[in-house]
Amino acid sequence: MLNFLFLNIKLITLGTFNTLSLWLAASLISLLAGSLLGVFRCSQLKFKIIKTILNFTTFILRGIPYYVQLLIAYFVLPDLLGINISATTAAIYSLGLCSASYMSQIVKSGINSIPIGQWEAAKTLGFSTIQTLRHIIFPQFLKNALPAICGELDQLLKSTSIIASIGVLELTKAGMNIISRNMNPIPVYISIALIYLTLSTLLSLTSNFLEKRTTTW
Amino acid sequence: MNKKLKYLFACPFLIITFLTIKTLIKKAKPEKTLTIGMMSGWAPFMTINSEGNYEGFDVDLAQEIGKQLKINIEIKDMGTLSATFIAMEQGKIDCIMSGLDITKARLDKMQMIPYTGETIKSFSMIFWNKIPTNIKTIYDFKTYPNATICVEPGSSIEKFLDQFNFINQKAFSKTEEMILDIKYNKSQAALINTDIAKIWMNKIKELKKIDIILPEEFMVFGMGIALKKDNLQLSSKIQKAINILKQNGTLLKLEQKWNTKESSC
Repeated sequence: MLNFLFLNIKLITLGTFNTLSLWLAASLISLLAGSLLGVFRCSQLKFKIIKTILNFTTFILRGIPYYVQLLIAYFVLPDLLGINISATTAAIYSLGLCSASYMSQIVKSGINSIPIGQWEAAKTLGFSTIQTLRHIIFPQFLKNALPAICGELDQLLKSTSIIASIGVLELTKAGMNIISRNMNPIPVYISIALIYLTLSTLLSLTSNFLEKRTTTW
Repeated sequence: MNKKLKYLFACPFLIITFLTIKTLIKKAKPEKTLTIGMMSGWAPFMTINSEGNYEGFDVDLAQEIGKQLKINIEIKDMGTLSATFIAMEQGKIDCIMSGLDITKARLDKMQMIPYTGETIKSFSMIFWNKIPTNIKTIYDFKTYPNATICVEPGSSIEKFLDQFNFINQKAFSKTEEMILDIKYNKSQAALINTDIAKIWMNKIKELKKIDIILPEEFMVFGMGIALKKDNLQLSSKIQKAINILKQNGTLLKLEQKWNTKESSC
């Protein structure tokens, strides 16, 4: 029954590698853009106009399903902006930005959960806003928000399967191609599911490890 | 901790800068390259083999056309049929080779150069285990409450089903997904190409079928390479290449190699 797995090990490995690469690139965009959006949207910083723009941006990114964002990034934006982007680039940006909107919510709520007294104390001690964020808020925020951040990244990993719809070879797409040749969907889909489960478990273990590390900070 | 933080923030910046530069600098397309849109996962026309490379009848034929026209061939996997059509409209690809059925509706919108396949006068309605006793034709579904039939989105079969408003359609991109849907009684039947039905019925004995005879406007006149209506120059070049490949027997050899009489979309 699992003979196909050994016959197609190279394709499955390639699919898994591509899934992880897409996930990694999208995760970095999600972490960076999400952190920036979250920091600027937190209640302690008073940038009214920027906050309004960023709130609107995250509202749009969260309100449109990822699949639709992917199609817009691949088919609509290149037409509007006159640029030609590859399916992989469109997938990374749309996946990364969609996740960034959720990540920003996590960052925003994480920062807001730290008592206002700490901001005031830092200000009294002569800390700048960036110094306060870096030395006081961020270490505490990371400890509190790490499980939610890892949860979002885990979700992001599974969302990469939608990218198959624009022709990017990733794990799900590899499975579909194996099925089209051997016409035996059940063992293929089960194997693909197990690979996703393994990747997800590894991410959970990493999350647990990081959570333990942050408690020592 | 501080160093770690610096690296943590520096990495995403570098990656994003790299991706942005990569996007903005348009990769110059080498001259004389024909970009062909295909969909992987449609054996025997185009699939990804165990080595991770494209293979199939359309892939081989595309290379033969490239040799005839003395141009490079670039194959793009577009994922779904609808995405492939959009990509052609937007000029991301020059033409589509994906075992596409030639239908009257498609001929109205695009050019189609026939290269393989025969005229199809019926589709197959497949059921799991047994055909309901009261179903003999597609019109019998009128008496079937909430009849749901699986179909491939964007296909000529979907266009055909659109005219029966008493049938609920359920879209699946792959035949195997349709079969699982009818197996677990989530829909009553799936309407697929007759040749695809034959393959699956040989593989899965529980599948039963009735043939749905098509009116002339839905008949399929073989399979063709699709191009934009106004792309007459390329169309004539490809047509000439196909004619040569037919005459010198290359096309027949490829048909025999890949057994293309078995499927289309």
